[in-house]
Amino acid sequence: MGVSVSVSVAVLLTASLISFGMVYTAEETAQESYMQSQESMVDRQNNLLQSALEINQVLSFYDDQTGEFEESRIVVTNTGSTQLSISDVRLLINGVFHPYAVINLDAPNSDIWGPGEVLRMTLGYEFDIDETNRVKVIAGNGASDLKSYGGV
Amino acid sequence: MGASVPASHIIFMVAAIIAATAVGAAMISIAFNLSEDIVENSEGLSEVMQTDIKLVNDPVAVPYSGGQLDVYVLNSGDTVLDGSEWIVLIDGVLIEDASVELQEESLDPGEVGTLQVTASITSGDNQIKVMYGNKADDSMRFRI
Repeated sequence: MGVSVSVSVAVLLTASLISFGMVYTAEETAQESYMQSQESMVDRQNNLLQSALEINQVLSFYDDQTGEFEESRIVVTNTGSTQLSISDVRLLINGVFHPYAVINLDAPNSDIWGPGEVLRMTLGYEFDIDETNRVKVIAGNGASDLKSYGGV
Repeated sequence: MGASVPASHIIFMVAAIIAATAVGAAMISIAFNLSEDIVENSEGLSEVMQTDIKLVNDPVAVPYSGGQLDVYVLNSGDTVLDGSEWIVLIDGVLIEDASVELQEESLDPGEVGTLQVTASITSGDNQIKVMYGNKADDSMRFRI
C-alpha cells in the first residue's frame, strides 16, 4: 500500500512539474514577445507624434527668353523632431502620385531627412496659377502636409 | 488465503500507478494545449500590434474613374503586408473580395500601395474603411 502511494505521488509530482514547466516557459515566451511588440508599437506611435513636415513653397519655373515651362520645385521642411527617410517620401498632386527628383539641401548625398532640414523636390508638372493644385507630401511613417495653391 | 493478500496488493498498486500515470498524462496534455494556446495568442497579439495601415489619399481628390477607386495605403507598421486579407467597406457596405485588389505583390514597412476598389460610388461625401484582416484598419471621409 505504502509503495503504491509513493509511486503514484511521484508520478503525479513529476507530471505536475513537467506541466508547470511547459506552461511557465510558454508564458515567459509570450510575455517577452508581447512586451517587444508593445515597445515597437509605442516607439512607432511616438515617432509619428514627433514627426511633422511643412510645405514651404511650390513654384513653377519658366525660361526667361521663351517663357516655356522648365520645371517645378516644391520645398518642404522637416518641422518635427524625428529623422525621416527621404526615399520613403511620396508626393501627391491633385490626388495622384507624381514622380520627382529630390535633394536634401542641407545634406545632398544623404537619405536621412533630419529635423529642420529642407528638401527640394523637382518635377515636370506645371502648376498653373489659374488652377487650384493640391499638393500633399507624405513621409514613410504617415506624417504629411497638404497645401492648396493657385486658383480663385 | 496467505498468497491472495500480496496479489491483491499488487493489483491495487498497479491500478494506483496506472491511475496516477493517466492523471499525469492528462495533466501534461492539458498543459501542452494551454502552452500552445498561450503562444498562439501572444503571436496573434504581437502581429496586431506590429501591423498598422494609413490611408494617405487627398480626401477631396481620390482618383475615381470608370467605377474604379484608387485607395493609397501606407504600410505604417513593422510587418510586410501581402495582397490577401484586404477588406473594404464604403459607406458601411462591404465590397466583395473580387472587387478589391492590391496592385503590388506586397507592401514593406514604409511603402505605399494602391488598392484598386471596383464599386459604384455616388458623388458627394462618402466614407471608406480599409481593414487588413483583423489586424489593422483605417478609415477616411472623402468627396467625389
